[in-house]
Amino acid sequence: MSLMTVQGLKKRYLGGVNALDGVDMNIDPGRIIGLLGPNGSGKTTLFKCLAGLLQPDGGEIIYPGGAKRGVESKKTVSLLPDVLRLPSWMRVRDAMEYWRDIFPDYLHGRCRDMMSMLDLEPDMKIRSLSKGMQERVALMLTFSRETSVYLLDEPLGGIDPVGKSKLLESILAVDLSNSAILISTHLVKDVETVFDSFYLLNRGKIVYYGDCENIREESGKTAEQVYLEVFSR
Amino acid sequence: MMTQIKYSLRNNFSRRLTGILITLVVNLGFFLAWQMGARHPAVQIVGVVLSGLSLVALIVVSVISDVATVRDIFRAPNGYSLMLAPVPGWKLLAGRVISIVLCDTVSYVAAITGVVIQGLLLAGARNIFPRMVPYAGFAAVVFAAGYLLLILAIFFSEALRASVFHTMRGKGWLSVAATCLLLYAMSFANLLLIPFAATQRFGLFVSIWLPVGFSAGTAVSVAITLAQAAVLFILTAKCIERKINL
Repeated sequence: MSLMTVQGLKKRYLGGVNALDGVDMNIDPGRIIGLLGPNGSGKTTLFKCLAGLLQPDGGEIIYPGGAKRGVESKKTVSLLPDVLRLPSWMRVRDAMEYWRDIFPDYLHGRCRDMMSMLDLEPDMKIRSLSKGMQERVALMLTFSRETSVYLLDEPLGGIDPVGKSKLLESILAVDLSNSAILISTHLVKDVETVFDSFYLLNRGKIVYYGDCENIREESGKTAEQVYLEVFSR
Repeated sequence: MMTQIKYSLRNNFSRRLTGILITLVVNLGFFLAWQMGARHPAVQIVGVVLSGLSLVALIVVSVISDVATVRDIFRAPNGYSLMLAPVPGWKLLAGRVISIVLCDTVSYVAAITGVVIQGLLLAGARNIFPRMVPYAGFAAVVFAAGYLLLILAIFFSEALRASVFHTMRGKGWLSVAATCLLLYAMSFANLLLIPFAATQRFGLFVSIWLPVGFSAGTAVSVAITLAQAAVLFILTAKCIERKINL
């Protein structure tokens, strides 16, 4: 049974742009699912709708446990936004305290584990961290919450290979027995090794869904090859 | 909630503190200079000019601070963290509003202290420039008009930013623009009291009218602080309920 179901989701921006045009999606427990698509395909908009930051214009989102959209649904979703702006004066320790204060489902032990896995120190100042290190802080905070669905929006943008490897390791280490991870990216090659399945999104529509293992067995293709085939048509 | 209040205060306070320090240090400095210079006209002229400049500096810092406050709310402060929090909107807002009220109150107390000192300086200047007194009102209007233009530019840019960031839908940005205008119009009205109170022409009653003006200014300042908090609370709560759907 799916953790979260999206049915016919629509979102239209000012100026008549259809950012989402009837998206259907199932998020099953224990899975790491890719949401792949070129820039402007609607990935971030979809994540914002799922996280409750944007109100869809149509369609339905069925949240884990039938949670109602609003305060209840926000308990079920943890979002790693494309840009996380923490006050520059904060240290990693302050950010952890801040999360503990505003998220009742914050798990300090898990956060500390993630911190050491990602080579972070509590005394590090946010403003003196590189982009890649700030991304690590954001990932640590995202996984410090005990939720059903983790949404990671472009988690690997602008990060060096060592950083990428660290981040992917930490993603794989998350206990997914009752949860799932949805990762949006256009950097398919970097992240496809962790996917169980993936959706391809183009101009607000799901144009492809595939299970990585089945695709490999049946056609010997990688997610990147499928991506290139679909988007170079 | 305490952490949120602490962090909001810390984020806002440095900006407010700059304005407070500028006003207090400059005005107190010139007040002392005026006292020490007794009736020497040169000291009084310098005192009046620089005291006026300090008021402008305070206004600039206040505008920057207010814009930052409004912007923080509509741009979802600290990334999306607050908007993502699974707690009712009023709890999130309460922290921010308490911070704003505290910061504003401190700012206004400092500003009023500066204005009292400034009024004393201006009252002294009346003896030096009696012919300029009728034009002081005109100068205040010109000054206020410039301030209004600045405000218009700010609220338009803020409203556009809000619509660009998709925190508003449809014509929602108009309500943001109207509210920004209301906020700044209230501050603007308060500022108008200052030059008029200081330049009114009832020379014999100056010792009565100035304290009355300052008392009124204090009352207006407190009312503005409360009104700002109320407007910000209602608007943001509405915005969150309707658009962000907390």
